[in-house]
Amino acid sequence: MIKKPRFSILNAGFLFVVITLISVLILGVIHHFTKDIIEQLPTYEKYASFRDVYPSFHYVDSFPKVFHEGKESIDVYKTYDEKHECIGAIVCSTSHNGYVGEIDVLIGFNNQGDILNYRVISHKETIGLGARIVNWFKSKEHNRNIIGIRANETNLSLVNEGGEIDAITGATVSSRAFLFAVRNAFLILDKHTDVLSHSKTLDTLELPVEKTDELKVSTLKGE
Amino acid sequence: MKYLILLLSSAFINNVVLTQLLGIAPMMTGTRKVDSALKLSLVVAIVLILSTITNYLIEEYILYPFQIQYLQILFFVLIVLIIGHLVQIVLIKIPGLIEQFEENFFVLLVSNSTILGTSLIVIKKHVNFLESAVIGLGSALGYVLIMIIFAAIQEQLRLEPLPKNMQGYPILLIIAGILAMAFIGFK
Amino acid sequence: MRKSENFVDGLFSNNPLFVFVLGACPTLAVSSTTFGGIAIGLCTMFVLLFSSFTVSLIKNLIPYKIEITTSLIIIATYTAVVQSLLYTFYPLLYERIGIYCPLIVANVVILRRVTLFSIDNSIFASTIDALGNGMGFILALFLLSSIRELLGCGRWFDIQLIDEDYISSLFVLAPGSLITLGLLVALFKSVKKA
Repeated sequence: MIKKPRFSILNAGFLFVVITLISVLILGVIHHFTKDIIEQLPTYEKYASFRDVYPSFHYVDSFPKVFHEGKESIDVYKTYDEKHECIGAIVCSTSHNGYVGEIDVLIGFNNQGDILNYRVISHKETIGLGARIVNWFKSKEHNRNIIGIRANETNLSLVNEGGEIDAITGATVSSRAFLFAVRNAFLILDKHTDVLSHSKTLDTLELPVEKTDELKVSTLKGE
Repeated sequence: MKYLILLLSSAFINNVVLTQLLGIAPMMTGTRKVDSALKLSLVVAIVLILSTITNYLIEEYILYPFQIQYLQILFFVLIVLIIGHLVQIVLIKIPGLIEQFEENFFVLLVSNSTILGTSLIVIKKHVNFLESAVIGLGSALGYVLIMIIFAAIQEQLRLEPLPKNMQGYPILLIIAGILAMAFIGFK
Repeated sequence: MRKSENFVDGLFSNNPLFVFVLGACPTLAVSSTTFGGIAIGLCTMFVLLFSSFTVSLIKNLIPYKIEITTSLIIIATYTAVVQSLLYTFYPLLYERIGIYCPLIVANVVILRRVTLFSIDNSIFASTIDALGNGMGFILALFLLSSIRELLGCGRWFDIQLIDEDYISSLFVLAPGSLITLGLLVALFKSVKKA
């Protein structure tokens, strides 16, 4: 049985320093190898969601244009048909007033301002309550569905706030925050861009993205 | 005024133990008697406040500027270890306050998810220095409160007959659950 | 005791969660979905395995007095490793677990096994012990989170089984986890006696 070293401040201190240095080394190495993947993460997630949210575009902006209104801002990825004419946009909008934290929503609008689809790309709401924003507002039930409605002809707020949309039972805060993000997306899109005015300007020189089936979506893991 | 609300919310509404479920292990094992619970929780409270502030400063001025956030856990654990040790030494030196800490105590103190958890929460919320101190203080208060309540309950419990299988952890957990339900009402 | 006995022990009769109610802290909060529960279980087992291995590897270099501290630093390192890897390869899963991933270091299961067992035993024995305890932990978490997810939001592995409108969400929140665990521990006790 090998004898253990005797305890002394010097011994202990030396051991601590060595172990800490080795730890830092290990962590540094791992960080070095994973850093590139981590940088690309949000991009992959968003691209995979684009098709979900806007089924039939030919081209979409690789990089968003950011538009501000007061404290709020949205990312706008314009969508184009095969002739490079703008047919709508995919908007990434955030609400900071979720029940637990931020809610990020990706919404597809066409030229007329119809909501084609949405996808909540990040939230921390409670499972079974606020988390239902992911599907609630797509449900065919009366007063819940926001898909297919024209954003400037419908009041996109909760029923008990003068609007037309039913909140999630027991999750009013999350519902309100979600609708805020959607409403905001439309308002800023309308005010600051020409996407919704049926104009087909080609003064933009955004690079088109390859169609989704060419993207390496197989590396996406998770939900 | 904002700070008062922050204090109350981190003490009651987002109570570290019963809402964020962070202090369960020491709550189960360290609260046999009210005065030992009081001692333990006060020491944890001190370490909690000190480490939250220190960890915040480290994150703000060392980890973030140099982009070495992957070292976060390592640094935080080291800080909690050091502060825990220092607090123990200081408290023993004060005459008559505490005679001796059991071996077990240090383990409970240091691997306490409340302390580490509060530091992580404070960073996640992107608050400023004063707010992080307030949150630390609030969590500490909430923690002490829960420990005392639970110890009092445990003392009462000893007088009650219980089915064999419910004795020990099961009934404690269920009672903790009912307490948690009360705290959910604050939201 | 023989190694195989030790393994089964960690799995069942000395199941870390159900018998000792260790490591309840970080796990209660995440077990509201089965995916999250299994994820935390696997991560914890990963950290447990590597920490046990490392500590029993260098056990003869550590003076008696600083066993706990040294073990904790080693556990912290591996937790950071797991966190980095999880965030890189399964970011959506990582988002679900949130701050409870770094809190694996505070999970008393790991510290206890490491300081009680690995510090005195051979590398092989420690690894087996870690595996047994780890699997027991994962199993326990699987049970706990399945019940909570099923009763709390009608889903299992994210597949909706019962419509959400018929379910009370008590089980998914804090009180539900405590009560469920309490009942499961009591159940486990009576099963053990039989």
